[in-house]
Amino acid sequence: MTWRVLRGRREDGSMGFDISKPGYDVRYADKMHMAFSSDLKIPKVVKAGTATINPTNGGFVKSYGLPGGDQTVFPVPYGQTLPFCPVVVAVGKCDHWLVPLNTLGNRNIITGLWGKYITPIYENFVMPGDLTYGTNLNHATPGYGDANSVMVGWAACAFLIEARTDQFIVRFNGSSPMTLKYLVLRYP
Amino acid sequence: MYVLHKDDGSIVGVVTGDKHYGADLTRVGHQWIYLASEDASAVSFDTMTTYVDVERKAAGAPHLECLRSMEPLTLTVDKTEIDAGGEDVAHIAGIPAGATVQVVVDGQMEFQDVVDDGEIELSAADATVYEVIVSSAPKYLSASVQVVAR
Repeated sequence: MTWRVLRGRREDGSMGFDISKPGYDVRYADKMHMAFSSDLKIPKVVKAGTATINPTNGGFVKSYGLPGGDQTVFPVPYGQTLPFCPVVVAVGKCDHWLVPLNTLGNRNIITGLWGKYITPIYENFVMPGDLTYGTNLNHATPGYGDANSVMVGWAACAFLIEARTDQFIVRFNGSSPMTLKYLVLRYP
Repeated sequence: MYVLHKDDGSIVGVVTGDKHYGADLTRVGHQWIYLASEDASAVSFDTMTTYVDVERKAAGAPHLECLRSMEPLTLTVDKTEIDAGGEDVAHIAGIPAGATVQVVVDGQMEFQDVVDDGEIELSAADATVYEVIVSSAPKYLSASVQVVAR
């Protein structure tokens, strides 16, 4: 029978309450093999929430460039200053954005990317959305508008989280507004 | 819910936060309006076609009344085809004061300037398609017209 519960003095002389995982002797098991230990730190939530971040227009025609052509820098303060950098967990989602290819500025950018990354579009051709990074045409409707133009949904976003002691900074490139769900955790 | 904006009122983003969070947002450099009782995960307006009326905000209007929808820009052009060579002229009107006008040819920008008198005249030396793009953020949506020089 394996000894799995210890309350009081441990082998190293410290005091605590431990329960080991099945098959491990609580007196000698390391922390990775504990089902519970009063020594393990429970992370505390510093801040949790959502943010919607607009892309910054950019591209070769600056004020009419594609959204996301330039990087958006978006600080999110915690409301307190911590003694050390916390852990920030974040998930971003970027919805589709319609790109009219018959607009000259957009057409050249998109067809440039198209030639580089994307296979030719076929009627009713649908690609799964890649919401993490890169350029994908999610839906194409040949024949939209005049004869040599199509309307496509373009979804792409890339973001980087930079955690600091009083805020985290989101560096974001995207084709449409990104909804970010975040959780800031600190260890006591 | 806080709506964050630039000096001109263009929306940067939306974040969740209670009524005391505004001071923290100001500290990291954000300008904002506070819309109570709404959550940023359920933003009910298009952040790309809405702006913050900074003049109303500065005048002390309730923040909810400072959120405005961009208006479409209606450009008028007296002719969409002109003769190449520089003699023929197309007049494009309906340009808001302070708007940026760009002329794009085959995806390359040929000209950019700020227009204050409400219209521009376009003449062309070369026979090609000219796209005139007018941007007047944040109050107006961008608009464009095409003029073909033959």
